[in-house]
Amino acid sequence: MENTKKSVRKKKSNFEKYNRFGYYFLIPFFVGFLLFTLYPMIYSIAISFTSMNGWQSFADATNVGLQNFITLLTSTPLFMKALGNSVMLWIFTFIPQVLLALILAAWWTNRKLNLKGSGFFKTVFYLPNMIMAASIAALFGGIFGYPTGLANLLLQNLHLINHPFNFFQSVWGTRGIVIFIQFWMWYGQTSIVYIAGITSIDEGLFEAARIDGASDGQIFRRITLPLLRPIVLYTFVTSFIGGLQVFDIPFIMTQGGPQNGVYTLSIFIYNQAFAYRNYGLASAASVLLLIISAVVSILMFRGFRERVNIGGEG
Amino acid sequence: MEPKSMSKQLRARRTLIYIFFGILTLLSLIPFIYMLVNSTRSLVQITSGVSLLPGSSLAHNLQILKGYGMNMWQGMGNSAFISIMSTAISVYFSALSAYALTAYDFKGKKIIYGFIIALIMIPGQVSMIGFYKFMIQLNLLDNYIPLILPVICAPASIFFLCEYMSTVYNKDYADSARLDGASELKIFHRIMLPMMKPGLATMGIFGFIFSWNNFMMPLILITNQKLYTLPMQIQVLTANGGGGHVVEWGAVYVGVSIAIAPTILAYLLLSRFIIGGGNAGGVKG
Amino acid sequence: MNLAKNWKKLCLGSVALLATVTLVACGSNTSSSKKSAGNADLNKKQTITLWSFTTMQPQIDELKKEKPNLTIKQVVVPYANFQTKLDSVLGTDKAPDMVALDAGFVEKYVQSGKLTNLGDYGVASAAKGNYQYTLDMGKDSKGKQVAVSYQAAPGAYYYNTNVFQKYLGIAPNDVASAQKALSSWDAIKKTGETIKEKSGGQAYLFSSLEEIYNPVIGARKDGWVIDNKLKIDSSMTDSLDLMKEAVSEGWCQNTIPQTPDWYGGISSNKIGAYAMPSWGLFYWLKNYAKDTAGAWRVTEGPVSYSWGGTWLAGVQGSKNADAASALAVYMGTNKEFQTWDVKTQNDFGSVKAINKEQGKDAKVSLIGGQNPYPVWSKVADTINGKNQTQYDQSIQSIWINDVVNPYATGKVTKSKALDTFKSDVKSAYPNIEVK
Repeated sequence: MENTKKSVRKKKSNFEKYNRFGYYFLIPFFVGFLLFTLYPMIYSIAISFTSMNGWQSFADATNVGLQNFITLLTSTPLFMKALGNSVMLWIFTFIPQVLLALILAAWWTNRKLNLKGSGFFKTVFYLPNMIMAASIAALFGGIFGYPTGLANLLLQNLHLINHPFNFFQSVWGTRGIVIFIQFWMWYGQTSIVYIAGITSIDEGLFEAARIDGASDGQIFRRITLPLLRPIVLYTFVTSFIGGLQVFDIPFIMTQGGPQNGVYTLSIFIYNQAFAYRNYGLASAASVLLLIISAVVSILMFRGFRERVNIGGEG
Repeated sequence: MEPKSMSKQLRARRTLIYIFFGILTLLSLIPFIYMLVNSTRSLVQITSGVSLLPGSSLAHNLQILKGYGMNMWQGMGNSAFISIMSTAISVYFSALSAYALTAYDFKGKKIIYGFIIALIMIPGQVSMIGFYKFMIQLNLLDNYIPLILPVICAPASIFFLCEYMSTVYNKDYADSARLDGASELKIFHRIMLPMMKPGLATMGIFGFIFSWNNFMMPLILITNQKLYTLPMQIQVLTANGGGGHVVEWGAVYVGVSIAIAPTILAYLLLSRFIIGGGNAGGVKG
Repeated sequence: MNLAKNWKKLCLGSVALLATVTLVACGSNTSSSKKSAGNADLNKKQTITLWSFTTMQPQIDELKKEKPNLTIKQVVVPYANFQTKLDSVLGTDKAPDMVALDAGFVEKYVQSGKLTNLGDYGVASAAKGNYQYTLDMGKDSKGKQVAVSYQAAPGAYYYNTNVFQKYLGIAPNDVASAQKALSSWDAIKKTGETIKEKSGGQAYLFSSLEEIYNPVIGARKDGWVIDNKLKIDSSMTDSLDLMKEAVSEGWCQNTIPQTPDWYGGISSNKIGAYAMPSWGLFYWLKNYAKDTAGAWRVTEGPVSYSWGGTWLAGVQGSKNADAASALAVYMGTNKEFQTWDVKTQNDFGSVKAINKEQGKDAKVSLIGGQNPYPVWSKVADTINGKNQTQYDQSIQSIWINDVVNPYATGKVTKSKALDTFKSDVKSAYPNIEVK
């Protein structure tokens, strides 16, 4: 075509002229960020360098430099335990969750299977996420009660145990319950995210593959998963950050017990801030939380990020 | 390929899947049913054991709810206002920001993108303490602004929508619209947003439910009972302590059941956009 | 109403006299009392905001009758969030005038320096007839009375005569023998073992460990922190072994307190006794006794302790601090109000004489017609109100989670449990010396 050169030049100039809108459109985000995230965050970080506690105001607090951080990392076993708990609980929750969510998403978007009633099922699976944590904690507290909770009655009837088991006095019993609840509250949401991701993949790719005789499994492994990578990465990162912040369920059910078995990082920070009112320590703990989140997230990104880029190509 | 055995295989697979779904459904529905059933049981019944059989105290519990002097309709209205506003704002501005990062090329874009992703890693707690002390300073207590506006900055949404958009966006649409003289903002509104419906709907659902059930921050910031959201009103019902005043769990469960209805509604409304794949493939051919 | 007015006049009169005599020495104190005279008059038309963790509507309605010009706006903040919200507004202009404080955290606010000195509002003389322990709990470290209770809550054991008769051979109305069986921790241990033996392990003396640790904690000689040093009262460590035996030898069922299984034991005829505060009778026992109603009796047990109760205080610097302070004193000491409260609200009031008067001929059918007031009064008179600190709520929770439960169920050794306890208290309160 004779006009190629011209149109290319035109495209180029169009491109440049409108690029500044990139900046414009990002302004609301940055304004919101400065006001609602950055300033409070800086304030929190500032507090972490003081020994602000109890009724003191920020102005009255004494500067202690890195002392809070040192205390947390070297002489606060509870902090290390809380950190370990949070990570451990997350690993046990997330892996089954991702697997189940992927399977569900795969089934639902499979044209061949053509599952009926997907709307109904999706709503139902998402329900646990919509209920307030307090109700769920109360429910499970009742089910696993000792000695006459539903679970104990069932297990005894099935002759799996002879005496009722005190779930909430057992560290791994309570952990198991918390893990299950977290998994069950979030698998629906994760699968919805994956479904949204899969439906955005060009249908044509699937058609072509099927015509070439690929099986469902192959399609899933070779086409769906790779294209879904950025979305899976998204759920990984957000789940990890969320996992570090798990608070409601363990707190309401057992306040972190027994023996601080489900004492998560968030419970630690919450207690420091609101029960013991050690604002300096609480802020320091949340700064440490921030650093850990950042480091792990960066590592995850590195691991995933070969093919994802922004604009330009692909 | 033998069609007959294929469809038999298919049917068998489907049946197994349906059974599996059935189990999951039961699992997911049980707490919900438990909640509804407890709305009909009296406090004593509830604290005496778990049961899935309905009781006869629904009217009694509703009475208690009314007796607390809380206007549930007002609470629901407040919740609806806050949640709808915050969801709309969150989704819109996240989409706008994601669009900026996908459709345009400018200096520092990669850095800004990396920065936004870094923001995802910031746990809510880090700014929580500072945030509410800040709001107290700004005298924004008893005000909905601190509950709605902060969602303008929602890095996780932006990230998701960026990735989503990268599979959906095609510059040709935008360029042809530009040739027609459309402004950038119009292009965004008329062309991009509709193309992103499943992604937007997904973020919308999450945002709505999060905002609806979120009562920690509102509880700290709001004292005027007329401004209470529904979950907050229910929280008030769990007031107990010395002096023997017990928590009326029956009334709480009625409240919780009522509170959950709008979230389900929002979910049903928005999920339509997800199920339809629509023009997710962008420009073809 | 007239009585209160007269009391006030008397107080103000003597203060005025004092002021004229010792003008130089006592300057600011007395002038503030004079200033408050006008605003503290509850008969003036004014509004007070009250923050409470549970609805006090009945009390407010009654006060409307007694002080018609007074408008009380109550804000109910859920117990779980009450302290957080209050902490964020205390000292600002959003603070309420008056606060209701639960026994669990009253000490924290008493020691905060943010409550008004009720001494300026005549509490010293008005509260002469109140239980000493409630007054002690409302005094700050300088001896100023900053909070006054309007409901006391002595603890006691409520025992099931069906169980006691069947396994201990104690006749239903022989409360004296039951008291003997529960008169000391040693006696309790023997009683528990007997019940276990005679019932073949089917019945228990206690449902949960709370039946032991609540009385022990409440009856301590020393509080958790003395002179800024952590102190573990010897009765606490002694009780640990008792609780361990209770579980291992099977005379405590070890349920989680205030859960369905704990409540369920009330009607099962399998649990011998429950530790409950006075208000437990009218709420827990009443609601869950079912067929066992009438079979219960109450007795003091081995030690005196309290569990619950509500204190009232005025907030310094709030808009209507004066009226709020006067109201706090009023509700905690006024004869008319207290009488109404005890009569109609099933509260154990804070004024000794009124409880005695109201409880003279009380017969509660739930406990087979027994009159609980003599028991409650006896306990309330001997409760140690000086073993409270502002750290109590947290430290107690850490004690139970780190030491009581794991040690009693044999999951950790005593030294390990105490080490964990000390390090967790240290991380909670870095300013306390922990050895």
